[in-house]
Amino acid sequence: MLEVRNLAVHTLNGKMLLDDISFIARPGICAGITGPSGSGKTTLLKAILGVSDGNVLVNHGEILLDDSNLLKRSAVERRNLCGTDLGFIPQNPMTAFNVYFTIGAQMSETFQKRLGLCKKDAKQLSIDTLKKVNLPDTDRVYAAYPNQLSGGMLQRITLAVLIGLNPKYVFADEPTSALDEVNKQYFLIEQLERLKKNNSAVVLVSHDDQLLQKLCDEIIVLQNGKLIEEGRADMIFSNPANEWTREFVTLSNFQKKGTWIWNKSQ
Amino acid sequence: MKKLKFVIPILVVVFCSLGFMLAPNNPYAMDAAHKFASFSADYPFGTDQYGRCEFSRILYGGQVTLGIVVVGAAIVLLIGTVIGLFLGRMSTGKSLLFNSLLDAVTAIPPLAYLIIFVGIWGNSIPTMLVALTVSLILRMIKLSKTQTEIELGKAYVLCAISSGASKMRILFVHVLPNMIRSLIHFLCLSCAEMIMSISAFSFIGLNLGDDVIDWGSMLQESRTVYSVRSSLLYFPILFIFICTLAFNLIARQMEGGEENA
Repeated sequence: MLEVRNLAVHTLNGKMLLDDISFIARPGICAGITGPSGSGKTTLLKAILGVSDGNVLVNHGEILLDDSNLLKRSAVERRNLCGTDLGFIPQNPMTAFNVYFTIGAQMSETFQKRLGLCKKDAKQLSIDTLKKVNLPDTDRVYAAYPNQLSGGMLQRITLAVLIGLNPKYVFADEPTSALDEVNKQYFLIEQLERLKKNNSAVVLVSHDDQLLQKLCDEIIVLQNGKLIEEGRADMIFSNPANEWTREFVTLSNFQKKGTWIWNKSQ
Repeated sequence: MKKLKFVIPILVVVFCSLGFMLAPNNPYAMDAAHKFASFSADYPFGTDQYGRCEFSRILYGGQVTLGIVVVGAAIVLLIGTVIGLFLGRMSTGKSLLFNSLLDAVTAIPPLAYLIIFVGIWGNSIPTMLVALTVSLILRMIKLSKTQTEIELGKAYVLCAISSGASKMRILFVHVLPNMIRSLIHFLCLSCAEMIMSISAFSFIGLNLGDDVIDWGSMLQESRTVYSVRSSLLYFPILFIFICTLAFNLIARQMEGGEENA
């Protein structure tokens, strides 16, 4: 169980980014984090993973991983948790890979380092996971450089790395930003649900109302670094309390009823 | 074709630095009977006013000049890059101090360093090497530090950390290959600059010591006999020109490759 208690994050010059945030990620449960842009969702994930920017201070509160405070641990210990215990799907897939190495080299490297596999096993695992995320053209993808692939493909590769590592806690930062509807529906949701069934805790940052409704059991809503609403997903969508949440739910209902009209440009 | 553009300059540099092994004559052997000999099989470039083989002297001069350049460049690349990598990783507070220090020290032009060191220790090969290395290494540190900071800000580093890569691994396996191109580009341009500095300094008399052959001092000596044999002046100039050009071409290839990557 990962528990965030009264977490506060400031920049070095004193601007508040997150204030008094508490939430719990339990195994087998998917917790959604939503809120307007700039509300501190990514800052929260970075703080949990210990990869905050240099000018950011995590100065209050506790992050408890199985009852031991992560903030009290050394940087090396926290980094060793990353990848094996805490997995991360980055927001922008285009910049998530080192352009100097092939996808295959980077995937195999990660599996070799984190799972202790030999070279051959790591390659096999990379190929297996690539197939799982609907990239059947495995050999080409494996040998490609990141700038030869599209954002959607790279995003699925980040998911493939995560599936291979199979961490206990999955932090997905807008994992659908570059995916088309088909891939989003069938593969991302399917794979995240499989992780959930494998008793991983999934923390999903997203603006995507469909994704949140389908996957999440609990949702917290952030605005301006404050937690403004929390509760079960169906409760939030049926009975939103906060102004921003109400608007978000109204808009998502609009789309469902089909009254959302796209003006096609001539 | 693209490879050829890269290989030819490198071959030129290798030939100029290791060519002394092929020298047909002893570059120091004076022979009063063969003063100002013209081109022949024994003396491909003729002889100078003391009857010394011009071709052998050019090749030995290349060894000295390019030897200093290559050793200096290797030291600059190794030490400069590593220090730059570590400085680039530092927190903002600490790096402010180093930033101001580097800015202050690099504000002095490289030639000024040369004059300072030659003034203190007199002229010799080690002095020249130290003077050139010191002025370039500071620039190298600055460049590699800035590049490291840029690379560390990129998202793939964050992703590498979040999949558990260690600090050293990120610096040397992920960041270094991404910036090595621009570092080598800079280094090649500095090499061209170094050849010019070494030659210019020995030409104006701050040579690398008595009995040391280098292209600058050859120029200086043949200047006085220009009216008798002008080719003695042209050969060192030609070789300085070719080597400088070669380094510039390598640098250009590095730059062009980056656009294609």
